[in-house]
Amino acid sequence: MKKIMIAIFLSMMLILSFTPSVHGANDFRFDIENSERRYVQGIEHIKRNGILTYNEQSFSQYYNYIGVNIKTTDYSLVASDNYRNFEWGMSNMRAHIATAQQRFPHLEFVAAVNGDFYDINNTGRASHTHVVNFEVKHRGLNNPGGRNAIGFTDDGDMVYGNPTFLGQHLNILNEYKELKMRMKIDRINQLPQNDLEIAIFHQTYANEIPADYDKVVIKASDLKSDAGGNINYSKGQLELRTTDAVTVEEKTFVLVGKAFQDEDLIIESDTILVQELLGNGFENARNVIGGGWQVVKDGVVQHDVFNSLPSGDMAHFRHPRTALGQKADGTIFFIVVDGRDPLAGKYGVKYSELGELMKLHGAVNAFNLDGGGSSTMLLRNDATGEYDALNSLSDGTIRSVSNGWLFARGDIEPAFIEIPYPDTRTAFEAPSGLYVDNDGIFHFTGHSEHMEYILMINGRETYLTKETLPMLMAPGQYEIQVRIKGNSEYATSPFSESITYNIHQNDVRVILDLFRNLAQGK
Amino acid sequence: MKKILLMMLLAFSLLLVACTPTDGDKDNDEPTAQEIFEAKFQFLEDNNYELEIKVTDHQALDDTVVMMYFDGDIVKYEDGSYVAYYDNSESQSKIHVKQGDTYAISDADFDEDGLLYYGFEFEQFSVNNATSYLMKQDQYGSLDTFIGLEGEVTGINSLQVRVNDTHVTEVIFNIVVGETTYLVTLTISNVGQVNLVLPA
Repeated sequence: MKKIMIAIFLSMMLILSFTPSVHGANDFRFDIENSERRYVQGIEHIKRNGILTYNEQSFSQYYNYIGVNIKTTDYSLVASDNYRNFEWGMSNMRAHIATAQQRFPHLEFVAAVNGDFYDINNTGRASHTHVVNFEVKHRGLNNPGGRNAIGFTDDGDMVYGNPTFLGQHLNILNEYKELKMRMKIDRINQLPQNDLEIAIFHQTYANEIPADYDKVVIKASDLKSDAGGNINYSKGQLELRTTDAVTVEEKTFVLVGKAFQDEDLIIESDTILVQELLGNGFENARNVIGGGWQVVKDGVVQHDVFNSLPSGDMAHFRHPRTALGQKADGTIFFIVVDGRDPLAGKYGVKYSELGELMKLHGAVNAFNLDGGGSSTMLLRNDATGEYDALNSLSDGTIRSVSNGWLFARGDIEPAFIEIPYPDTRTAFEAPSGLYVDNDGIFHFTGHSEHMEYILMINGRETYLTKETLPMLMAPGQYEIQVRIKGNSEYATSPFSESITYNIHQNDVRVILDLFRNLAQGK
Repeated sequence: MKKILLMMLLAFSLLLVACTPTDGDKDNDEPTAQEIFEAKFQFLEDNNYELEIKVTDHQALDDTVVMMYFDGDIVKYEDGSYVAYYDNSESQSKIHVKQGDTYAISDADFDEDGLLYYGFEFEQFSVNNATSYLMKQDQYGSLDTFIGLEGEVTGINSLQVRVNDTHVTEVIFNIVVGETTYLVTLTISNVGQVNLVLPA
């Protein structure tokens, strides 16, 4: 018996000695064959290839890294999409950049990376949370499984995990986008049960809302539904205030409650935004999008998690991958690994290998994003102004995706500033002394202790935190005004007087300079 | 009969004598074409008028318009909200440029010749009709020299001066920059009506 036990023991030891290490971290190695580093407007770009060895397997790999510290520089991360109103959608990342430029003209977009998984065969809806500039277009999943949401506060802190849902809230924003009032929605498609409750009725409500209730009909500018058809994001402006019976027309929503007796609460110039209030740290995140598994957690690659996944799980297959990581110093970086092209030595990586690569570059926490043909990394080419794809696109072209992340530089405009209601603030005085000097630099005199301005050029507003601005624009005529943005203490100032700034094309400028010089002789 | 004939002859003679022009008659005071031309430029001596400079881009079908105002030694230039005053009253000319609510003053070195029409001579033109003159083809070389063309402006051609009863109203010409031709229209108005004061 003793011999049998010894034989069994020895057999087990023998088997164990031939079983590959499931932890494997110790045998990870990346032998660099080529590595180039450069900086594009402060963003570090590394292009590298070599042999990745992990778990006794070695494969040729190519990948790109871009990163920048968003705590110590003027860079921030902006969630991108190109959704049309009343729809989700898919677009390539260059279109995302163009849309972001429209939304945030004061920001300069330098790099872009694809984001969350999405409903690729139908709506293009992102799989999980999608928040842009505090607007919660998709609150995310109740039970996200292995998915995470990743967001960023204005301080550059990364928030991750999954948001809790604190209920639909009515946000009333005044013409300056200041938060006039936030109220919890007590009922959806149901009448208020008392004078304190407010309710929202969506176009999905087929019945008539009875008379006598105070109602505000909002003409929607955008509505977004989740996979179950529930409208969780509604945006619009006042169309009608009534106590008559109403039915909810398409592309409208109706707010019902005693609170709407107050005719000043919602006025024509207000923007009405009904959306989920997120919790679990996400309440302060300006931009949030979903991602997949966390591949590095507190500095540890999550091999155990991946090994516990079924053998058919995507974690165990080599594909092009995109990952987002955060270093201890606040640097945020992305890696996109090429794949699906073994003849070119581009095999792609498994989750464990991706995690090791992210850790190799200093990630304390890192997340897998959508990969495969979706993997896209763009960086602006300063010479052409175009956005070059850094990675090998396994589809052969830039795939249309739901959302993504953009590295943007510039000042972040305060949003959802809470102001008193009724608004008893006095307004700042309008800026004065506007002019453009001979070098094309715009100047004005604002408020030295509150340098937050709204600059309006030909009717288009942009945010500004300085009292000078180079007017780098195409030839044309520009009407320029500026006002001081309000805060919790002072209201937004009126616009300054307008000035007209003409930028002449070069030949015309030469002609005018000639005559101007001649004319001065008399 | 002879007497009657003599009387008639005498009467005709007297009539003819009475009708003979004298030095003081109107026909002798008709101004020459040159005098008429020069009279149209007489207003420049007072140097008080408005000037609109319009540059037309034939390709873009786009007009650029700026204004200049002349009042003796002071010239004002307006291009949108850009405003500059030129003060030529002293030996060292000054430029006052509007910067917000104040003006920045600096020295300026100007071309001493003045705008091209200040030097126009009758001999340089053909009379087109009662209200316009065309520059003769062989005069453009001297014109280019006069205004000191250099750099990107390579020439001026097809210059026409239009006048009204009292003064020049428009100077119209093509100007060539590089290989592109622009139409320039200088429109003169409000002669004697401009009152400029240098900013404090």
